Amino acid sequence: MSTSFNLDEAVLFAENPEPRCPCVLLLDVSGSMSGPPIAALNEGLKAFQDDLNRDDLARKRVEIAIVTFDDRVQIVQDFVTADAFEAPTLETGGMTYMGAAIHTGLDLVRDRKAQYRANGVAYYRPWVFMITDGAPTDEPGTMEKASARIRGEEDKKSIAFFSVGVEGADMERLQTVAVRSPLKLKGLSFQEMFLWLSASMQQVSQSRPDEQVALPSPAGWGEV
Amino acid sequence: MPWTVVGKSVMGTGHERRSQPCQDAWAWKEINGDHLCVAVADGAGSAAHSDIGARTAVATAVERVAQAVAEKLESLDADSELEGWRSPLTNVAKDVKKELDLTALQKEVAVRELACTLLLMLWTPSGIVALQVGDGAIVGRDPSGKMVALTQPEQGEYANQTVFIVEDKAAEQAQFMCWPFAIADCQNASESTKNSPQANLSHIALFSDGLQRLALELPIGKPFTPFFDPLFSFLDQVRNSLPDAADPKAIFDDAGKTLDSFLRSPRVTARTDDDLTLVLITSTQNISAPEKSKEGS
Repeated sequence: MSTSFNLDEAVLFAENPEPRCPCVLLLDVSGSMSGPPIAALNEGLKAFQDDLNRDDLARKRVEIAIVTFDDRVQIVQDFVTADAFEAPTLETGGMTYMGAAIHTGLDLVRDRKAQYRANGVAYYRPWVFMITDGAPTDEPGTMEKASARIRGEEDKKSIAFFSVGVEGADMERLQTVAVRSPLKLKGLSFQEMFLWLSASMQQVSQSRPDEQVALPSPAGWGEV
Repeated sequence: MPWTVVGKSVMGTGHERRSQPCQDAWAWKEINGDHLCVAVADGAGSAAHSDIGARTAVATAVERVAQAVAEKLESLDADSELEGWRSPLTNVAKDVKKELDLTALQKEVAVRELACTLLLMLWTPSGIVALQVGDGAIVGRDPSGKMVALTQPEQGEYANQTVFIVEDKAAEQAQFMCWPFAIADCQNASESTKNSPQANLSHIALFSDGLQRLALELPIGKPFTPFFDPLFSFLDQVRNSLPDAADPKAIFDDAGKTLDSFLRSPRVTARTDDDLTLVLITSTQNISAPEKSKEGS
């Protein structure tokens, strides 16, 4: 009797948008990053793009935005899903307007969440991932406000903010910026770092209700 | 028997990969010949023993509902207002939490490790009541074919967040919904439910969150009719073949296998790697007769 009933063919599925997993990269492109560091960072971004696209679910769910900062803060890439992301080639400039960049990044996240909600798209906790090789040179007060904002949003679980210091970064200063301890990049292992970020995003983007996501160890590229 | 019930919990492909057990469970019980209770629980992915939690939760839930029905019938509280079920069902949910607390003590683990959702449906002669903690949903169809959502998936801000029965106040804050047959007597019915003529539902489905994105149009949570229609036709076919069957058990075994292979089919697993539970229910009379309670038919 039941063999005459082919549920597999008969049942149709609702079309719902994939849940999104937003990730903002805040990238330091100040003068000191010029030469091998910026080249390695650009290579790392390409590896990030390639690796995310190897995962069928992650490429539809992970959304990437890039904000660069030197003397000015630039949204190089507004949020796109990984399958539409093309790694940019970044160039270096002058100072380190980190605080202003943090504000821009957090604004991007806030606006994106509003868009998700307006369109009924489910989403995961956004990540903000900052990479710097220096210390902030913002106007007085900007950096303090940015730090306070990070703390407030971490408390509300609105975001998860990670920071990575490249050789030359003021790690002590970085320690005071965010809630989570900064990681120090080993040499110029940007590639390894972005592969780690990609693997972490894959984990998060496929986690189910209340799953505590066990992230891969950053030991291959970073030290605390 | 007034109802035909076919249901399955299957392990998701993601659980296979991570060598986790199936953390979904379901149970059902017919009570007094005129009440039917079905419970579904989905164990939290992060909880070490949520498979045990889910099984304990559904078993406890249907037992306690059976007691609550017996008490109600005994008390001659012939109050057919479905809203009157709010307090007994909330107590059932509290009992489920107590039972999980006890199980955690016995196993010497934190109750958090037994975290699961709870979906509870009670079909009474005067209508249907539903209680839900967490995600997944309970939907129904009236004889004209119109689908209705009895409950909605309950989610936190993020896609990987929901509420579990082991949390404080989960029972008190659970969704409660009643669908009275013939008259709108439930204060808690949504406006649309209240104002529309009440149809006697002929079919009900309960499912865990793994099927949510396939079975509902989100975010409003409207049941996707082309998903349920073939499933309910399949159930009707099972029901209709029962009266002439020499071996009804074989019919149910077959039906279970059909549902099982559907839930494991590549089309489904391409969309979700989570554990899946789907329970389909239809009343054998299509419309339950309130004044008549039959036994052993």
